[in-house]
Amino acid sequence: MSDIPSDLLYTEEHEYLRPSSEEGVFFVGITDYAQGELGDVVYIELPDTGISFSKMEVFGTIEAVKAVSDLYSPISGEVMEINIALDDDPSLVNSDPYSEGWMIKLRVDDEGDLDALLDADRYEDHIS
Amino acid sequence: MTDKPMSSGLRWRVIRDGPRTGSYNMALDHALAVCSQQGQGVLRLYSWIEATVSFGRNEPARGLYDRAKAADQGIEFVRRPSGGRAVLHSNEVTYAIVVPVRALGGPRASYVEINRGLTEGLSSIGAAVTVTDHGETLSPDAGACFGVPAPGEIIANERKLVGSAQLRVGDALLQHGSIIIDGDQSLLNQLTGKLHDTVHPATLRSMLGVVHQDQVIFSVIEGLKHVLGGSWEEGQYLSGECNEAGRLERQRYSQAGWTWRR
Repeated sequence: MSDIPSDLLYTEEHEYLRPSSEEGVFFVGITDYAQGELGDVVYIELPDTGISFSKMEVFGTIEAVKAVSDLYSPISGEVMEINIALDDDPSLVNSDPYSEGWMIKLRVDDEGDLDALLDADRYEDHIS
Repeated sequence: MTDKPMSSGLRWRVIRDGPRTGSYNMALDHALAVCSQQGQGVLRLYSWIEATVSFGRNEPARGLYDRAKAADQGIEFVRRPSGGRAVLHSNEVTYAIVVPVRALGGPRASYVEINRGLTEGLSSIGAAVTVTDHGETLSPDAGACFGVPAPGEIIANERKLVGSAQLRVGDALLQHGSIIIDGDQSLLNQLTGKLHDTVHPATLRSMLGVVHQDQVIFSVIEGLKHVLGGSWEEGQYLSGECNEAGRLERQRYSQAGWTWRR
């Protein structure tokens, strides 16, 4: 059974957005379900800070044993920070996907776009 | 043991291709995934015009290989779209399977089912192969692909016989890999200067004597048919797939910037 925190927003591509302490800035990572599907994560390629991505644009890749998947920006915005701890320990995505395993902090262009994302109940329906 | 087919319900197209360049081989595999359609699977079987070293998508390679020595020996380089580590493609049968990502139960379940089909096929020609339940979870910089098996891979006499890797593109999953007929991958060590890291995969020749590519291809098709179920027919590339492959080769797989990106 995958962990789906009720206070986050989700995409059908299994990314989540978690609000940060800064207005309009969100932590982005992959869900517990996604990390379980991938298996042991061995490498994550993240963008430079300051780069902007459109919704559904590829912002990086994740490799688990031998499987590579693209990472899609759940919403349009600018990368404010990346989680450099994943360079040394990509398995944080497996052990703590919603906290220590976050990937990028994104300042969203338009918070109205958040309405198109899934809440926890709808994401649970999506993966069940 | 032969389990019943999983009845994926997919309509499969089998493409028996010939030898092609490394850059076009990778572009074709990637293009098949990009152009994947719901309800359909593709099995492509192919080989390589020149001996070619392929790197995993995220594997460090820049500055690690003696490219002049490789050129002298006619060895090409390409970087795969998929994960994993370096493979020297020479005397082998290479397969690529593209399916909708959930059709076989997701990436990990697909890996298990496809390897089960390959195992059944290779066993039918007398190869004593099995799927390992042990092995190591290795990072992309951990050396050659055939050095150490990972859990779920196909081995013979505790050595890896089939090296496979996956790419997920949108709603499609590509798994491709090498079934070694002959050769020991030792050229990889000569090109990196790491002569102490000997890599000796299992080979079909060492187990069966003389083995023809066509024999391996036939057995693989039959094994996958039986395990994956659905309907199967021989086919060719679609025009959209060729166009996409051409674009990907031009823009990515023939580019030194991609091959030596890390």
